[in-house]
Amino acid sequence: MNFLKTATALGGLVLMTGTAFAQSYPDRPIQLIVPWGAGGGTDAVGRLLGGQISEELGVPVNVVNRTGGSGVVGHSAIANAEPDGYTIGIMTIEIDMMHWQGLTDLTYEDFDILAIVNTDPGGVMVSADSEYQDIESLLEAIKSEPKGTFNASGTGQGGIWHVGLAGWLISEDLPPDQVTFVPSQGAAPGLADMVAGGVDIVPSSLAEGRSMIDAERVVPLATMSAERQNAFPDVPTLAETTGSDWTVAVWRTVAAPDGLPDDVKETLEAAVEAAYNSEEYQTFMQERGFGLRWAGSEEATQIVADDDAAFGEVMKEAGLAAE
Amino acid sequence: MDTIVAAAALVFQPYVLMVIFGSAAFGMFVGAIPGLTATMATALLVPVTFFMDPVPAIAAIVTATAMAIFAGDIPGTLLRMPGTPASAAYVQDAFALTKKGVPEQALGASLVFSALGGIFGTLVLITSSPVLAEIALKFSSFEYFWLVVLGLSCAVFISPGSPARGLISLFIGLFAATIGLENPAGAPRYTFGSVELMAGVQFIPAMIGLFAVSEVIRGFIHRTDPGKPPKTSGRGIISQQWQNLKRYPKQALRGSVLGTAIGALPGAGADIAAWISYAVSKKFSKTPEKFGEGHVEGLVEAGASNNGAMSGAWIPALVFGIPGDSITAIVIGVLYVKGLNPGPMIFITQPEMIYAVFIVFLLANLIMLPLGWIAIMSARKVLSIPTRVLMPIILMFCIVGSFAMNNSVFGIWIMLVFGVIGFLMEENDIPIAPAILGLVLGPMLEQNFVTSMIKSQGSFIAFFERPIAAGLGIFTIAVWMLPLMLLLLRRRRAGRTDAASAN
Amino acid sequence: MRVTDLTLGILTLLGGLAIFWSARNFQVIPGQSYGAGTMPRAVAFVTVLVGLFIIGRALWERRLALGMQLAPWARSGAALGRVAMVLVLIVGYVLVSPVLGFVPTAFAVMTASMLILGTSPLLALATSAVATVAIQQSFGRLLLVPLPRSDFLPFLW
Repeated sequence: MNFLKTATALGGLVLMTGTAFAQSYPDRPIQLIVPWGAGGGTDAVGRLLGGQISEELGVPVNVVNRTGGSGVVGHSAIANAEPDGYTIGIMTIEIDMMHWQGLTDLTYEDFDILAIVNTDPGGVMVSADSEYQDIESLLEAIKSEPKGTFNASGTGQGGIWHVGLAGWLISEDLPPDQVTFVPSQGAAPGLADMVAGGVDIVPSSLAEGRSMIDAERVVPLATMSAERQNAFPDVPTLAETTGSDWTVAVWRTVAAPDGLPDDVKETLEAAVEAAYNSEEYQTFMQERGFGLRWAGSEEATQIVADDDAAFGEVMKEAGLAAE
Repeated sequence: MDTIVAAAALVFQPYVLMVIFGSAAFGMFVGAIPGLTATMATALLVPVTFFMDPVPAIAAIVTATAMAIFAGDIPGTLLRMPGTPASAAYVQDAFALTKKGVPEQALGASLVFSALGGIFGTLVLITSSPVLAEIALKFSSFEYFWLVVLGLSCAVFISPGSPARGLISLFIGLFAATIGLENPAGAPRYTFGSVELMAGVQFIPAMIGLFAVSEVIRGFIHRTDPGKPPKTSGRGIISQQWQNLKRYPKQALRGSVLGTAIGALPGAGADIAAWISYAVSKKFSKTPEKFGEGHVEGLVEAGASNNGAMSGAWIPALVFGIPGDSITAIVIGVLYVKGLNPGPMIFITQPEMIYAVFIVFLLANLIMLPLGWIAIMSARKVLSIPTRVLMPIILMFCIVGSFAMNNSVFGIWIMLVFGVIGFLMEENDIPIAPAILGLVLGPMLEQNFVTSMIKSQGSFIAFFERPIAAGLGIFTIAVWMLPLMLLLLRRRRAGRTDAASAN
Repeated sequence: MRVTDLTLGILTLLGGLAIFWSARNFQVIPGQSYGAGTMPRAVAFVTVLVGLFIIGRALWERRLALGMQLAPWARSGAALGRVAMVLVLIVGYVLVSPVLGFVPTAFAVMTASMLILGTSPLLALATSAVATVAIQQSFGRLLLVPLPRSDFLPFLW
């Protein structure tokens, strides 16, 4: 046991001297935590940015997936790491919802947000054989039929598109559960179920439905954004059709644990910005149909804070928040 | 056509071909060691494939398992210690041939007819799955609910030992699957405030524990090394099979068809296929009395059958995302981790991926012939590696593999717990495969049941309202009735003859 | 370590009841009658049935023994000790590797288990050394798994 203690002390000493005498940040590999599974959209964004940041800073960036628990595990791993700039991560919109659901005490305030690197607005999609082929007639039917006639799916219970749907219904002066929400494990299974006739609406981002839209099995009726999306110029906004002012968009940010030293933060911000502007990132995002959006640290933190408040309101009204 | 070209481009890359070759050699090695099964080969391979793109990852697993199932025949033939449960069915015949001094006859027959069965199963997979996928597009949660129940039921009733023990195993898996946050309600269950437990029981460390660590524990207990294997010669390994094919064409075809069909049933795989085919072969043989004395006929049929089943098991796995056996269960787990959800949607969104998998299957079964030949020739060497050196290295692989899945020590704890559970289960004759299926299918079962109830506003009748759902539901209930009927039949027969009806 | 049928049945029954009890506080999805408790309750229900079935069958066949039958190996203290060692080695790896790093810990775990299994010391040391470096290089360097670093052998990273 004594041996162990000595070894720990020795190890600690080596580490401390290592940091104390470090010439400049960064001088060893950076770990980039992705709270979602390998192969998904967030993972792709993380790996691509990681590669670019590595080139920018001249040290390896190891992308590490810490998955599970609807993102709680990975976000906790980022927030609980040392704020020394050697652990960063991709923080996703779930951070603004999970604490309302009572799953964790973690909020965006536990992070130093470096930048927003992508947003995708929500949409309204129906199956190609749905009898409602425009948003006005769909809304009319939702209003006139009894509560629970229509089903929607596309994320888990209390997930972003559930909140997005509830927010839209509230903005149309309808109760948030006028359309029954059927939880699913992501947009793809929700879309599959809609094509099979299991549910009527999928309110996920149009980017997630892209391959099904191209295969003409799914029809996009509206986008929940202030302006039309570049990738889908024919799809109207809610504002220009039903007149609702509701907008919702998922975003992905690069974030670090709260309390980064100023010089480290500056270095990282510059590296992330360069990575965002790299040709690789720009072409990749356009190819996958993901929305490009840049917001620097201050603006990004503001967006995240605003969404946090807005989602809290909707989730409380829809009964999705824990008491 | 474009799809096939795109698929070929995915497969015929130096990297992918290297992976195929490497995992083939690995599968051969693991399968050839008594006690290390094809499932264990997969379990040990998964942490490595986790870092690959989907196509090489699937290629690695497909080749390794096809190879391991054949290689399981090698220790069975030479030492009477079947390497995999699938080859236990005909170990008697194969070993009898070794005693006659012609082990290469037995090994040659297993090798060539394994490859033939595998290719047949692959052709069925290629032709049937796109058609089935088109139908599967119409499947909603009601249909999937029944499919999952059907798969779980088959796994329980077909598993060796009593259905009651199969059920215990299944419910261990189903219960483990309820831990964590990923459930339709999004509520934490059995997490005790631990962030790590919110992620639930990670599938791959659990599987490594159940299959590999339990085996390591057994290795530490018994410390037995296999005896010295006899020499094999390369003469006639392949050439002699022409005669066998001419003599037993019907048997080879019957084995392939039956194996593929059994494999395609959700929940049933290669082990069962080999046993059933061997029994069928004996039943229809002109010389049933020769079975067990070193007769090639049963080897031909059962050998074709177990590799046919391996390919057949991929039909429900690719089309519905419902595993046919524990190996495809593992693969589905891997694909989910990669964000690639198996099911009919892949056939629309990524057809090139599906065709790439088909090509890999054909390659795996073709590469088996030369590599199998090498394996037979070098069997003596592989079989003389002592387990007392091998087991510690396997243990280290298990630890690193479980850690690597989520880069977290928590994976090692899961592995340890499930290693002990798996060991205790085997000690009590509780089969492990149903637990694995329960762990993979548990979330699907819950998801499809709860969402169906939400859609139908709480009405059970909805599970029989859609025509396909009704058909599947009735079929599933019929499967439940089957063992009861068999039990009654056996009771009556046993009562009549009063003979030992125990197996 | 094989328990008798009656014991297995009782354990299964108790397990089922425990799941049932633990699921009592799981909430339903708002506005629905199903939710987090549905699945555990269904699992518990069938587990209880299976337990009752096994107990019933054991009673019917008059196999009333409780406890477990020890397999021959379980009577040997040495074999039990080796099983305990597997578990100790795994736990030891988890606790020690963050301090010492992967290479020394893995080497020690493998050498120790080979010696326990009766490999000759020289062979054990040699194969463990080769295996350790091979695993470290393949997982640590090739696959970029963040294995615990060791400050003794930084050149391996």
